[in-house]
Amino acid sequence: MSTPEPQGAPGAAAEELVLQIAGLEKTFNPDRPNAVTAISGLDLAVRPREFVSIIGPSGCGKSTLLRLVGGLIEPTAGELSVNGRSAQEARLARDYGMVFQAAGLLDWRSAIRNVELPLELMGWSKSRRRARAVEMLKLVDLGGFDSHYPSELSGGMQQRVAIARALSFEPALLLMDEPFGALDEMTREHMQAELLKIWRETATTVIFITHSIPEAVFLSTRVAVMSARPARIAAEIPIELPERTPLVRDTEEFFRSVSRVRRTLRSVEAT
Amino acid sequence: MASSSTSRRQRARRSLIFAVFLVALALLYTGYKAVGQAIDDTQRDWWVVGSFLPRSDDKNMPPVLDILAEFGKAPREGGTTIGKLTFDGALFTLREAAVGFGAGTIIGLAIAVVLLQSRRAERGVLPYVIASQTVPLIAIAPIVVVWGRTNFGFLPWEWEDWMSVSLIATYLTFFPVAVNGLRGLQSPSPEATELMQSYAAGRRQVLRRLQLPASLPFLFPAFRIAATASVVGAIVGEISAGVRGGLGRLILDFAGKYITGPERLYVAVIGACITGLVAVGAVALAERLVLARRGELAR
Ligand SMILES: Nc1ncnc2c1ncn2[C@@H]1O[C@H](COP(=O)(O)OP(=O)(O)OP(=O)(O)O)[C@@H](O)[C@H]1O
Ligand SMILES: [Mg+2]
Repeated sequence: MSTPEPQGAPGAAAEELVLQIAGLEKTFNPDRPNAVTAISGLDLAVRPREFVSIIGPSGCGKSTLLRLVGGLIEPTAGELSVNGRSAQEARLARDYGMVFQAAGLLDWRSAIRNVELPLELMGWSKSRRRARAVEMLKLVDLGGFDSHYPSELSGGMQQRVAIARALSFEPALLLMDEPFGALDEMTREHMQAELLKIWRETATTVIFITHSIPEAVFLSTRVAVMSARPARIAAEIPIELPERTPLVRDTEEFFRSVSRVRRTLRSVEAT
Repeated sequence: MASSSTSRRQRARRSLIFAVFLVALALLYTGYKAVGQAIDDTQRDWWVVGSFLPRSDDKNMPPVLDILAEFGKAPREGGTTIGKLTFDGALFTLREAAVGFGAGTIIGLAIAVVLLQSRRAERGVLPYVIASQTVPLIAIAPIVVVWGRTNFGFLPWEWEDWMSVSLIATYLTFFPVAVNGLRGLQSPSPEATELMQSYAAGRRQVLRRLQLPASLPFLFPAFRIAATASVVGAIVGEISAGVRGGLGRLILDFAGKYITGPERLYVAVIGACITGLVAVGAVALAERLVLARRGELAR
């Protein structure tokens, strides 16, 4: 199986970038004694169809970055554009689907009704959204769990429902905050393969936060390493693998990329 | 299947426990009465403790069987029985309470939704909502009735006195609904709110799909309080404003004839208790149905 590695043309004009961030800064509770500068002087550009993983020490500001990109919080300073418009505009245009660090399902809705939530808000007809939700739950291997409530699902299953929910309306940009953190190794690898398949088959751009270096290397076209607080992108490592099948994990190229990311991360954490 | 049969068994068991409770209550009553009378028959004054206890002669504590028999008796020969009078009065009072409860729920929710919109509104208005409940009910009931008779001429329907009593129930209902409702509407986590924002959900959508469903577990306890308060408020309202047709008036009438037939008053009071239980039971049933639909009983 040949695996095209989608890459935007180098030096693409700013309008073609899915994400462009320059000099981004975020300070929580400014002007107060408990002010925290989570992000400062962060630059990042993401081209269409890229799969960018963001890796960095715990508490450095990865989730904060994702929420800024999603227009859920406002930056203190700097520029940030999504698909050539402001993060707010992109949010209102439903440009992206987000998977939060915590599954964040609504307790009173069954799995299938949780997946239907965004479709409901977007005004899909009942039969259409039901059909899509069934399909999405199958995709994340929860075929038989349509009518289960979140309290009846394991943490990993809840997270998979959240992933199905984010994918349900086929957003062109996926923002994922440690989506596979709660999964066991086998399910995690299966979900990684599914995500790669979706990414390959649809024209999706993915920004993916993870703590796992092998996961970042396996999935990404590029790994961005964040520094400790205040966070910026300390290094970007392009990943070139011959193919992205489970077998690649045992190849020389894979190990080389993993150790390169690891060394970068270590040097970042040391400073 | 299995769960429905266990719940049926549970319900049967609960009914049995309730029946046992009622019988135990009747036995306790009768037992106390017997002991009290025995003390009376000896030397009550000499028995220091006994002199503090309620008197237990047939005037003060009619025998259980006499009370039960009273249900079937008619005050006038061939007229309506006491049981039927009480039943009709209970229906009348229940209607007042239900209408007031419904209106109070709508008003309470509306206040909660308005206060939800801004912290400033919440801080500014909530103290007044709380202060509203310090107005003594017995004092305002007659005012409300008189006021209703003279001031509601502009309404498209004719204002009747029972509606003024409903207004009192409304007044008692809106408060717990507004306060608990507001807490419930504010209960979703910041993450859930951000999720809705990420879908560019409008304020109305957030209210309907997130905040209102999240508030239900907070609202049902308020509904239970409000259901009792509505019935009590309706009875007290009828008594203090002299509105005819309901349990309040019946209690007042029977209290006036206590000397000749204390059993009657007991019948009316039992009727009031049952009315309160029916109101609370209706709320509990609604809660069960809603929670079952939300899968919260499956846990
Ligand atoms: N709403 C907030 N108010 C104040 N400080 C915040 C807020 N959200 C995040 N922070 C702070 O910003 C910093 C970065 O938090 P963030 O959640 O982005 O870290 P993270 O990189 O996602 O961590 P982890 O890997 O553990 O998920 C932390 O120091 C945190 O205390
Ligand atoms: Mg995080």
